[in-house]
Amino acid sequence: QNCGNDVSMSRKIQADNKAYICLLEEKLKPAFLHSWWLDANAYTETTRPLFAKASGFPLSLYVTKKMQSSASDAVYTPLQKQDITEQEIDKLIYKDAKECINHLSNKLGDQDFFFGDSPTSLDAMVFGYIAPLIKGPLISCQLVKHINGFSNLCNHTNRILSRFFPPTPEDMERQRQKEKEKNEAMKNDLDFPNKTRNMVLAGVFALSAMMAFAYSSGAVRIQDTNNDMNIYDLDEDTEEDMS
Amino acid sequence: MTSLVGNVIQAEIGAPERWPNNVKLYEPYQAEQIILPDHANCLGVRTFLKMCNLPFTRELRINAEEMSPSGSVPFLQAGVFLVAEFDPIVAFVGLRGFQLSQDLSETEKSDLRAYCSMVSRILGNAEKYLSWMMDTIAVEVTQPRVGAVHPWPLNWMIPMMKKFEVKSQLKSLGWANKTLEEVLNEIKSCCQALSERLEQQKYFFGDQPTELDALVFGHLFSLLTIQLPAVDIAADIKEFVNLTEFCQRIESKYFKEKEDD
Repeated sequence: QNCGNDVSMSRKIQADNKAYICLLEEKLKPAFLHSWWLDANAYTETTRPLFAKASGFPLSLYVTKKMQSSASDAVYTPLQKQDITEQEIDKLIYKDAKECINHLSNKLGDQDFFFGDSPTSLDAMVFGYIAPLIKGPLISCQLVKHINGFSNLCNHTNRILSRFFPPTPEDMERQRQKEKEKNEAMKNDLDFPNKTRNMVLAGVFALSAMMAFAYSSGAVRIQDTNNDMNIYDLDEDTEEDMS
Repeated sequence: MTSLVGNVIQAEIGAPERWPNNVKLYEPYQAEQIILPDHANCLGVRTFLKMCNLPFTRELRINAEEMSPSGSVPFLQAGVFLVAEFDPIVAFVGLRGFQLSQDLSETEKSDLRAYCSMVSRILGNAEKYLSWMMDTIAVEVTQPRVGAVHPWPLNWMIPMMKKFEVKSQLKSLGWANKTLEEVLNEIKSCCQALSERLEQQKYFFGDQPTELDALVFGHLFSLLTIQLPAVDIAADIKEFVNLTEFCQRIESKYFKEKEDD
């Protein structure tokens, strides 16, 4: 439609732009999808609760399952050939993704954006992949660790975030509120350092009080009394037999 | 053998010999059996090996695809190693010490990787689409060719299975729902990007050929010379004069002794 940043770029840069976007889709996207949807740990602990909360019950059950199966399809089907297991595919896609990140970092170098001073669609796509990884809740993912090693890519993401997604006044208010709550929670912990000890003592006290009441009211009998009663019974029987 | 496993094994063995004497490249039969996507890949690999000046013999086999470790042609047999498809073969050859792109800067190497990715993704998928998803072409050209070398009933079962497999691959990549016009536009935009990159140079990265030149030649030459009913792709590509000249240059330099269809 002849609008957008790309049109103002030279044709050669548009060609490079197109090539790098293809590289991203071929090499980075499978590992990205895998980290979010196909890694069992991340899926159950992070992704599914996140999406379930956003879509509400009962739609969440269907939506999360469907997104997982389409991610699995997108990652495994193109590479499904003879003699290759899913674990090998996983290793291959992460290796490819790390190489792709290396290439992106090489291309970016020291520049502000990939093709000079003004951003292109490639910058947007790279931001779309990297920002959820480094700013999102997936911390222990190997891809995130690899990206964090490249300061120029992290700076690129932060630059786009601060320039094009500046925090609104409500966001700043929410941020301040969260920090206040965190400080208060820490303070509470300091006032009651023995919280756990107190809880345990209270529990033991309650239990012993209940046991004492139960014993005194006759609901619970102690073992010795029963044995004495049995001995007496035996003696009576023998006496009756004899007489 | 995947490229990952291949790399590990070669690192351990340490590549004792540079290039064995009896390296063989296995391909399906050229005249009757081979189909468009396979032809492009095979030609790309052959061109790359010629550019590296590495001797090899071509072995044409009916069951080349089944023999291949990854299920795709072409595949290379070098000593005890079997390596299939363009990227792993380039990596394997690189590990043996023959590289076409070692003089490029880091940025240029990244550009090369990106363009290879674009060509194999766009042109490769477009070729698969044209061969298998277009009903006229699939029924008249592709399926008979794939089934020609097998007896009944395999001559219709095997093409059907292959068609199903390719269709599910294209579906997962989002290509299955495209119309013919969209696919032709994709081919055209890819060629435009390549034309912009090439400009008036001899090869894509200066005066020396790289693996990108081999890959582009393989795909473009196949698309230019194939005769398909109902579509005329050659006319679209011929609009980019520098690309057709590029193909002619490479053909005359590396293939002038042999006749290639």
